[in-house]
Amino acid sequence: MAVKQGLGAAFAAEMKRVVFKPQRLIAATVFAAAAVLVYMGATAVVDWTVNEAASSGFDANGELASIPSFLGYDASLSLISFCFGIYASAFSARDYNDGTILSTLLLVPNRGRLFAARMLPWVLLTAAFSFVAFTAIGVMGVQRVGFDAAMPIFIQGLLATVASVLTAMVGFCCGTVTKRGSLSVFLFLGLFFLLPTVLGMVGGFGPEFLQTIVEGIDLAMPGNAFGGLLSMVPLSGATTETWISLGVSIAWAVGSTVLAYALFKSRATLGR
Amino acid sequence: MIEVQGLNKTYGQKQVLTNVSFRAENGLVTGFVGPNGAGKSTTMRMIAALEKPDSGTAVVDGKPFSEAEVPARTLGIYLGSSYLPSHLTVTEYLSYVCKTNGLDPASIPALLEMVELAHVADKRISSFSLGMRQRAGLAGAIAGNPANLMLDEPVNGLDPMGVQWLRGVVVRQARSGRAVLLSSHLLSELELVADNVVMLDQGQVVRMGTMREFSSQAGPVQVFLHTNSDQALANHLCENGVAAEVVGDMVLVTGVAPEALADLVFRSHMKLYHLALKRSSLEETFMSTALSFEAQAAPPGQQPGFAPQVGEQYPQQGQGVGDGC
Repeated sequence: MAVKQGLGAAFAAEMKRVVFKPQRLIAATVFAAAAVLVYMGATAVVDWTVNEAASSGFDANGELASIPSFLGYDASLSLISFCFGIYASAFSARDYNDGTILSTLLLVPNRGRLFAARMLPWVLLTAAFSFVAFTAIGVMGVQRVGFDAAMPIFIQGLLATVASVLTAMVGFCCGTVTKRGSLSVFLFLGLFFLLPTVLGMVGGFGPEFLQTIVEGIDLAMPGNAFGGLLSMVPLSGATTETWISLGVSIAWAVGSTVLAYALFKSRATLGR
Repeated sequence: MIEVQGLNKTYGQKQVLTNVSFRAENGLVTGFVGPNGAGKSTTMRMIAALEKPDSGTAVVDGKPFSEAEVPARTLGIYLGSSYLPSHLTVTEYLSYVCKTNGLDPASIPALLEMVELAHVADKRISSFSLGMRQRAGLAGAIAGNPANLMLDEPVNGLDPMGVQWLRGVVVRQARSGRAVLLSSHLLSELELVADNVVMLDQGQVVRMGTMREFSSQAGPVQVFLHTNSDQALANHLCENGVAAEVVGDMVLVTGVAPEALADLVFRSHMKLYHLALKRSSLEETFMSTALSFEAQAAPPGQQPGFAPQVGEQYPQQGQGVGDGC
């Protein structure tokens, strides 16, 4: 006897499709991120052994003031976040090119359910890989600097995971909005890298008032917010900048989701 | 049951559907015909909740398809082979069908055997021929053993054995109590399976009825006979005020029931070789209806732009060897 279709069934089917189709790309990302972790971690261990202290994270009195950032966690998490953001973008756009989206709509005609089922795998995969990567770093960090740093490290891990998830959400929405693989990836990379670079150049060469405007816009860019969430968290707790970065990231993820869902729900012809 | 009521749809300035209403009843095959661009596919997409009408409703078993509890069990849909996920293998595609709708994936091998795709179970759909993609799509449509079936041009690309197989599937589905809505340009094929016919032209329902109504003659009954003495029979009928003419190697009689004619031949001690009512084929009815509708819709002075090639089953009237009355 068939069970009433719910989000669970649709999600399970989409998860299987996401995990088992671009599996080589996901595996490549994981290995690459792990390799970065191992390399940076090994470098740090050598450096620490030679110098007895890390060059960052300690204040003038030699007290630990923030979580050491030399362990490569920001490089690893950046790699994971942007790879999954690009995969989500390209994967969701491809479904429009090859007719998959029409097939899936005929099987899951409730558009809200299908949209959620398509987005959730990317959210969960990115969260899982990010948190595992940061846990590995966290264990190393706590071993080195002591359990006093455990809570800040945990908070940092959570923030980094949230940053990764929000980035993947924006990537997925780029694919849903544009329906074109290359355009969606371009849009994603444009938001996170190209636009901030252009803004930086405009601000650098323009008049002072323009610089102020550009700085304001740059603060609202998702790439800047992402970097803010990966920055070192002082042991005293997250700073105002961290919370601003979190707010901006959430706004981008929510805004892009609302836009993508509105288009997904209203589009008549979703195929080629 | 599939029911469509008062569907209207406009794209920009163009009205593509105007007050389309019909029903595909349970236990029957409803043929859905019309010229290219008539609005058949648009109507089917609305039934499948892929598009929203400007007004009107399309429901399956009383509910919009988007609210179906188990969509694959409510309506099996085939809208064309180009709507299959080409990056998946056929097994992966059917597995996706099963997973999304809570169906038993153990049924997949049997399904692949049924559509004769078991030998390519692990090949990507992108590598399939058109006929194979048709079969894969049909497998997806029937995987859930749906209560209703909607097929848009399912015979395109099928070889004769495939067409025969599909005919069997469609008829079996209908005879087991399901509603089947079947659109096809192959009218001769549709004639073999459809119980009811709905004809769409320029976004409007122009004719609707049973297959019998579609193929029966308007006006007086006409009967073809072939005896051992056709000319003599025709002469005899004419002398008694009955319109009869020899057409090819038969006699065409107008206005007399077949039973009465058979009785007459018997009493005249003639040998009767053939007797049949003259019926229009679905294709003939389609052509005449479409022409008539387009003539009414055309601006004054413009005629429909094609000359119909009527597939006459029997010799045409007025082309016979002998004389009429």
